[in-house]
Order: sequence, then structure tokens, then C-alpha cells
Amino acid sequence: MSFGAQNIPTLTTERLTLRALGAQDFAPLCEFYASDRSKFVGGPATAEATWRNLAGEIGHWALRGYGRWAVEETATGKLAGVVGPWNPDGWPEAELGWDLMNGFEGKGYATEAARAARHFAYTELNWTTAISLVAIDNDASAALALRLGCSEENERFTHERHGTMRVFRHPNPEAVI
Amino acid sequence: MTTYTIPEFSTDRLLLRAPKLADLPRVTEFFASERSHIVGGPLNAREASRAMMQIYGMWALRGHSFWYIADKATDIFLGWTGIINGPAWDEPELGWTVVEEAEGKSIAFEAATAARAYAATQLGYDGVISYIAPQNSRSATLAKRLGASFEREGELLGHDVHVYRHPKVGAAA
Repeated sequence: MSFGAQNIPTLTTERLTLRALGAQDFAPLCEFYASDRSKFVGGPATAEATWRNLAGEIGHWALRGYGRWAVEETATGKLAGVVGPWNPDGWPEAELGWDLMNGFEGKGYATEAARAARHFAYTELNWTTAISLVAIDNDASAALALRLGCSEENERFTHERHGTMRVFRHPNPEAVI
Repeated sequence: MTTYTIPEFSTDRLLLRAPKLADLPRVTEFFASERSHIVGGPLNAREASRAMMQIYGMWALRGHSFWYIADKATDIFLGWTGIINGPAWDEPELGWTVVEEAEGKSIAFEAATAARAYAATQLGYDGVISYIAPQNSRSATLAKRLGASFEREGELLGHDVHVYRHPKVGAAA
């Protein structure tokens, strides 16, 4: 007898491949979590904590039936980011999250991946709404939320590792599908 | 598509299986208790659920991790055991933790024996170590009962630990 963990689907966009996170993503994630850029998502973090974060991303799929993908730059096979639906225990509501690895900023990758992830959440997971949480000082991420058509809500969400975050509400499915 | 499998098997009284959402209240209760400080607690509900997610991911990343120990008759969560080998670990470790109600019934012994045999025969990890906090005399007693012996003092994630070495159990186990 065994538990067969849920299949994790692969999505493709013009320039990106959204696939299951795996052991090959540990090194680029370590680089990201060792850097100051990770300060908006609970970093900086040690290799041990990064490994557990990676394991947690994969485990989210098993417990929720969905989770975030490794966003691979299709042309190079490099890890460009981690994007997708996220709603662990204690989260305020179902979220679309995005982290961009070092050196992949300014290419529109987060936008491209987040649109694909939102489409998946609305069409495959049948979400009727979605939020994105953005750390208070993370202006680049807030700008991305606005580019995706989100509007900011009045309330904020405070998390013990991520600090206080702004709450952006995505357009409804009928507006973006 | 990516898939991975968590093997499940039973012993005389126990089931070693994948975590389930239904276990979460008991897991959270454990992590809220003083007892959990040996394994990084106390943790709140959301961190407890995160620990559960990480067990799944470790199976996917490494092909081994912890099983939840459940009562074979009732399926009630009693603790966990299995092989962990994080970046900070010296080598694969056999770990075990049981809830208070499972103390004194040889449950950790039964589960850890089965996990150790699985590691030796199915994973190729034989003669593994266990990290034990110096003040955790119950766990040291269990390690000795499992036939392990004190090897050295060590350090793990900023804590002093005692490293116990298990005997090779091989295919005979």
C-alpha cells in the first residue's frame, strides 16, 4: 500500500515553462534566499530553511491539490521564479504568489507566469476570486499586482515570518478569462 | 507531470503512513506542547501544518522522509518516524517522536524498528545515526534499546546533540 502524491501539471507560456519544483531548484533558491531580495518573502534564510521551504512548496500540492510551480525560462532551462496558487493553513484566503529569482527581474516574466497561474486557478481550480499579498515595502511587486489589474484592499495581513503585507484583489474570472 | 510515492506499511499495532489533513489537530496539539521543544517547537497551527507539508516535499525531493505513526485499529496519529537528511545533517538520520499518550507502550520502539529496517533494505541506509538532545534521556534510552550506541558529541542547527550509531540491520531485519 502506498500514498500516490498528486500529479503536478506543467503549463507553458510564450517564454516560460511552469513545472513541478524539484531538487534541481535547490541551488538557485539558496542563492535567492541568501540574498537581500528575499527579505519580502521571509528571507534571508539558511540552506536548511530553504530546503524546508522547497519541501513545503511541493507538500502544498499534496495537501491542497494545487500549489506553486517552478517557473523555468524555456530557452535556458534556468529557474526564473516560483509562482502560483497558495493557501496554506492560516492564510487569509486563496492567493496567487510570485517570487522572482535573482537576475530575472525586468523581463515581464512574473507578469507572464502570474497570468498563466491565474488562468489555471480560475479555469481548473474554479476559484471565483484571488488575492495577492505584497510586503509593505515591496514596490516592484505592488506594481506587478496593479499591472495584473488588481486593486488594493483596505485591510492588511500580518504574518509572523513575512511581516505586514498589503492585500491586492485580482479582477474576477469573467474579466480576465 | 511529476509524481512520487510514499510507501505505507504496518507493524503489529501500528500503521506507518503519509500524513493526512485529519491528523492536523493532533499534530497542532503536539506542536503547541512543551514536549515539542525537542523537535523545534512550540509551533503555532500554521507552522504545524507547514511541518506537515514539508514531510510530503521531502519524500518528493529525497525519496525518503518521515511517516506518520498511526494506531492500526483507529488510524489515530501517534507521532512520526523515518529518515531525514537535510542540508545541515551529516548523514541520513533515523528520527522518532511520539505524542504523550504513546509513551510507555513501546510504540516509538516498534515504529523506529520498522523504519530502520525499511531504510536498510529499501533505501540502502544501514547503520544510520540518530541525533539526540543531551537532555532527552528517554530518547537516549530508546536508542540504546534499539541497539544504537553513543558515538560522539555533535551540533545540529545550533544545538548540541549526541550522535548515536545504529547497528547494521541489513536484510535480516
